Amino acid sequence: MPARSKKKKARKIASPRPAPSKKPLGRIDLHHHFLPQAYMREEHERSSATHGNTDMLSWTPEKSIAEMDKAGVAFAFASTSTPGVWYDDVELGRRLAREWTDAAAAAIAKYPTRFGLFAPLPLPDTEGSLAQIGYALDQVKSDGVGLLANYDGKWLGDPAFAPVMAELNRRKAIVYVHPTFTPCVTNTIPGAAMQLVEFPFETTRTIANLVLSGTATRFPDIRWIFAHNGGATPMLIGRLEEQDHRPIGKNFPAGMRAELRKFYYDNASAWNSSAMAALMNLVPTSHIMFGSDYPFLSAREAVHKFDKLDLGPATRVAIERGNAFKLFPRLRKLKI
Amino acid sequence: MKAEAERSHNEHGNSAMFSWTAEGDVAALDKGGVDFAVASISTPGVWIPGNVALSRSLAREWNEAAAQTVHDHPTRFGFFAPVPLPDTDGTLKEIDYAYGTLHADGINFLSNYEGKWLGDPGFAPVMDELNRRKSLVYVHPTFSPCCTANMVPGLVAPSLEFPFDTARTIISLVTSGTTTRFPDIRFVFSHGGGAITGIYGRVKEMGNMPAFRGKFPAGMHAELQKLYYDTASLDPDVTLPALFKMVPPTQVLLGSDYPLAGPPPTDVMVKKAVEEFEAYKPSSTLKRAVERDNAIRLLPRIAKI
Repeated sequence: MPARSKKKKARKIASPRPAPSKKPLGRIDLHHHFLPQAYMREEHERSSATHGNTDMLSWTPEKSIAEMDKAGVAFAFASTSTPGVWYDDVELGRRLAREWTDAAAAAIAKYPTRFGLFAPLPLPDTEGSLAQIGYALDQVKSDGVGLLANYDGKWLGDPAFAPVMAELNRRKAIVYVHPTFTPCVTNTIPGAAMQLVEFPFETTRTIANLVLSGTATRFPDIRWIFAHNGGATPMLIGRLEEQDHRPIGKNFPAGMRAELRKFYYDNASAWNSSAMAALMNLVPTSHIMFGSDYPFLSAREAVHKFDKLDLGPATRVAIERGNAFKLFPRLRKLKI
Repeated sequence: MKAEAERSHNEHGNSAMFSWTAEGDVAALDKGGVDFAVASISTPGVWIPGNVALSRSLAREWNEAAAQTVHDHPTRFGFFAPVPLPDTDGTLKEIDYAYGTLHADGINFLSNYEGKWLGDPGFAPVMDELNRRKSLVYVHPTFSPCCTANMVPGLVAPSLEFPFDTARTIISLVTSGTTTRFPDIRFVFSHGGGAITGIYGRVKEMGNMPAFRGKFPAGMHAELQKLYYDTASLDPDVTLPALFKMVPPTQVLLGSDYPLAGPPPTDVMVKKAVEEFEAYKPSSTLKRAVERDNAIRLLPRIAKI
């Protein structure tokens, strides 16, 4: 540690621009993707999804750490992005989920104070998912499981997934939800990758589905974390809340707003005053955590954009660091 | 209205729609303390796929009926004229008739026509004409062919899919260069631009993407700040703050969604919409701007009434 700070000092003198902060905040990044090379090679061959770039094929945990150090991120929870591990093949899905988890676990074994893990499940294969929950939570000791917003066009409140939700509820699991492509939607904005406009909509659909189907109420011990401020959910609370007064409202007697306030959110791509105003007026600030979306986006830019917002130091530190310690008490033991 | 009900199986609105009258509308405006309303059509509009002649005549009938209502209540109503897009020829004729003969206050679009959002190159001749006329253009959401059937169970399309579609059409208008190429069109989007505030963080740097180089040199944020947004169904605690962080107060207009703003009774809908906006606790300047002055700037004729 002393060697490191000396090095930093030396750099500060040599550089015409001072380092942004002497004392790093030690941010906790809830939205951080691992792209194990074996997985990426297979995915690249298999998938026509136009996301990311060829750099991603050479991702290593060390590259993550280098970026985290530059951005003042102490610890990141790794998850998969789209397309995940499901390619209409049960055996393949189970193998990819297991391999991805093992690769991530190996990185964590090497850098235990830098990474946590949300292990992917091979949904819509519920049997494989139940086995993977046991493996991920009992053997690998992952911090939670990672889901995509839909599987084969079924949102997460679909009755077919109820056995998996029951098991996650029994384990009081943390479930991280990342958006993905919607099967029925193609090329809405020519020239723009689908995820720019459509992903927030997809996150909104799955949140609405979880509440409307009664899943959120039936399985209250699942701690849900939704990426990107919950997509467009906060902005559409007016429309969603109307459902409280319709017959479907019996599925969530406390009301839509109360259910949304129980969920947690990462703020990746929502580092602007408009998005933060909406979410902070909808849910307790303690339920909002920092997310970078590295390596699809730069963690340094994420920090830069978020820190520019006029939220006040206490709120900023809570979102960037403190709130994660409440949801993941094990972080305290790491002394990060 | 009856013809539409027979043709359409869309789950929107309520039974009170079938008994809409200008007098009932005026009573609702009075209850809400609203002096003037600009009427528009909701989904499904006037386009009957595959039937150009019927679509043109539906547009004409709606516009003539609206003009008659305005004629009967000149101090209470104006109207935005719906057009039979994607039929561009019929649309150009209807624009001419609506302005020239019926003195419409603007033109009324839906967010997409057969899955084409408003920035589609096929609509450019219409945009060109509207730009020449410095039109006020009101955009209302509609069903999107990609996302109408089998979406989230229990939710009708207007709940989530309409706001998504409004956001898509805004992004389509900007990324296609339509808002830059036709800068004299004043676009007004209902429901605060739908989910536009929800995707703002992801789209605000789209101007830097190679695919859009030169299409909107001022950048996405500058283009979004040129557009207008109404307040219908926006949550005063969550969505209005987001909207006012994205655009200046000059761009926001009062909207009620009468008579479709939820289940009946309809007569209190305008009043509720005003109360919901005022629950945001706007300053007196902001209140006046959103409830009155911004609209008068767009439609100066109202000031003379």
